[in-house]
Amino acid sequence: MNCLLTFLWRYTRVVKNYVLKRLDLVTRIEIVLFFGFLLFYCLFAWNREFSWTLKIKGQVEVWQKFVLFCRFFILFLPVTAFTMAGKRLRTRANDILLALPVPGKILASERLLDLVLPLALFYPLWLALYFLFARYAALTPGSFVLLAFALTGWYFFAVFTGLLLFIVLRLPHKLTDLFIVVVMAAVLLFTVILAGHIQTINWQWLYALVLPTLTIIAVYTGLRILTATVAKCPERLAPQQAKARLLTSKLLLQIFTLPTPRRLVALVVKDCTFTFRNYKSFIMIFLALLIILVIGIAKSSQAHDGIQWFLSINIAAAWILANAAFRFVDQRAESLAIIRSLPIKPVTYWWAKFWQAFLPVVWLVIAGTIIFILKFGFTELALYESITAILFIAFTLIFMQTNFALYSYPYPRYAVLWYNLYLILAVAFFTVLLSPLITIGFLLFGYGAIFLVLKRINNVEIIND
Amino acid sequence: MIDIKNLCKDYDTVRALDDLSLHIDKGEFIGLIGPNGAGKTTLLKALMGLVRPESGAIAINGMNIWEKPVETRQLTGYSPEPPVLYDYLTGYEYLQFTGRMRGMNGKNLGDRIADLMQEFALQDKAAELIADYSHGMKKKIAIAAALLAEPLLLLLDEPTGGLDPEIIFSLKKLLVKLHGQGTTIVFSSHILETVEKLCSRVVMINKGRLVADDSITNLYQHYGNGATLEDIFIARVKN
Repeated sequence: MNCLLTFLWRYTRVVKNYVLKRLDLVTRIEIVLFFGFLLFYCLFAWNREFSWTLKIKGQVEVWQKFVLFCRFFILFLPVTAFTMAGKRLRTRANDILLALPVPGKILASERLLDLVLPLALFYPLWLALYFLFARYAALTPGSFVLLAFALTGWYFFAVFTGLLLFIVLRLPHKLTDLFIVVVMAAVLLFTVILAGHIQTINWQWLYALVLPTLTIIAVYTGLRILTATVAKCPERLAPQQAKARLLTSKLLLQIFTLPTPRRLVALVVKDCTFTFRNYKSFIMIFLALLIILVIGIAKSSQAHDGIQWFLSINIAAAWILANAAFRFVDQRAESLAIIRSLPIKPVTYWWAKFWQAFLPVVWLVIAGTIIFILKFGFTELALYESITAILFIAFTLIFMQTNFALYSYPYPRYAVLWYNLYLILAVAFFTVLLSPLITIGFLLFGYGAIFLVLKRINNVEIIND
Repeated sequence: MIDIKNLCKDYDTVRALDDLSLHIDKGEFIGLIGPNGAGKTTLLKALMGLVRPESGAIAINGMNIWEKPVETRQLTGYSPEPPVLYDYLTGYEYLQFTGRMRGMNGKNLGDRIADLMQEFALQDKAAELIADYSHGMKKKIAIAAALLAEPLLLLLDEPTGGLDPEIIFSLKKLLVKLHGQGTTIVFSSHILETVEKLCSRVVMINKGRLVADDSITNLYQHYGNGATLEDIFIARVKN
């Protein structure tokens, strides 16, 4: 009960202080429009798309689309789960909580509830999904519930792995960094394999219920062990020395930033150096996306499938890396103060951020194009179509991300609210390929965001809160 | 150099700056003092354009800071409290980035960074990540970044906090030298002794209002012989 009250108190405070007091009228209207768009997207677009597919192409096609959706979801869950696990075990957050006279079991339960929150947001979506399109795929309500449980279980499994890794990270071991990269890469690779075999998985009650239950228990136990260990030995909370992260190849950085316009080089190099040194989070994701892209295209039997992989992975990269560009380098309000104290035009900063998020996409496009040509030969039209789509969608995603990230600048402690928005946004964008027409809505929203970003960069207030 | 007119700034229900007006001439060395929460940091942030006032105007060299942000920032060096830096850059890389953003490059930039690193005894730490620096070292890098392009206006928010006595001594010397060269300095501090020794004029604020604005000599004359800045501060804040 205490844990629930702590949790409720925290989130009521977030809503009261942030949503009701801090947001201006334009922002509130934007949020209403954003959710309105999502609602429209769920209610009409998906339903229309699936009923149309059923009518024209039959149930097998619907089932295949549904499987595609689940694949995206399976790929997306571990990334989210790792991030959530990392955020919940941040040194600063735990420092504050562990300094309070709160028993370990309340603290662990509160952290657990906090991890469940995104799922609470997803469950109404799951319910809507069934009525919107899963019923067209000849799925019974029972099997759909099982699928939801299984995916929840998968999320918790990834959270648990993430938590274990972060707990290990606190142990003074020289090979910790390498260990984390290897294990996280293994989990991501396993995710890819699982996504590839989803059609052959039979969603049994045992699997669907036992996996989430066991992992929830494991997560709770892991948190209890961590809180108990830290209570006995507070130096475990000491942040890891950053010296090991200094190894950044200047040559690699120069090659990576080669396409950047000259006037933006200093800003882009600063951001890329920062990102490279924080490699545990970003470089691994980039490499994982590259591996998925190579395997995906190599395994495709038709050019059409290859293009689909090509597009999906590049859009995913654009979203993830745009997220990284804004939320991690200039994440804290104070960091924006550095930029705002320098004689830089907002438009310069804006372009630098674009290039920082766009460069990995450029390299992925180059890698994807080479592999695609090697596999299928040169099909001009398909490639031009893909590259144009990537350019437009990446542009949009990057600026939608920027716009949302700028909300959390003045009050970084409320960033969690925006994080949940990113999750919803991700769900929406990962399914964009299901209905290309909806992309137009996305583009309009994204391009609107570009103008807002320019206005906000100079107007957002830098307050240490 | 700086013209502040009827500046008001609110944080929710708290008025941080209340109809504050101030004129600072070129080459002045201003000591900005006041109790905690008086509005010193907000005033410095407002001068940098980091917070937007509810009303009033700020002009630097005749240019409104909201209309000409790039031009006014080009003239200004700012060191915030607490120091804000990019943790994953080395001290050298951070100064290099700041210099390039201010239009410096090549040998000039390298030499200037080397000089400042030596001034603040940071040569041995130049290649280490800022994340590994102590608070004092971060502070030194933030001040060095503010001084890097030799700005005409220097805004320093509690620059001596967290620094060791030796560095405070060399910072004071450096500020006196810059003042001698015509740099305008606005220096916020809780250490009244430092303000007393360095500044030509004292601006005292309390609850966002200006409670005293005069040269140190005039303040002493007004409060009689034997009065220290501390006595004057307490008397003004109580009033």
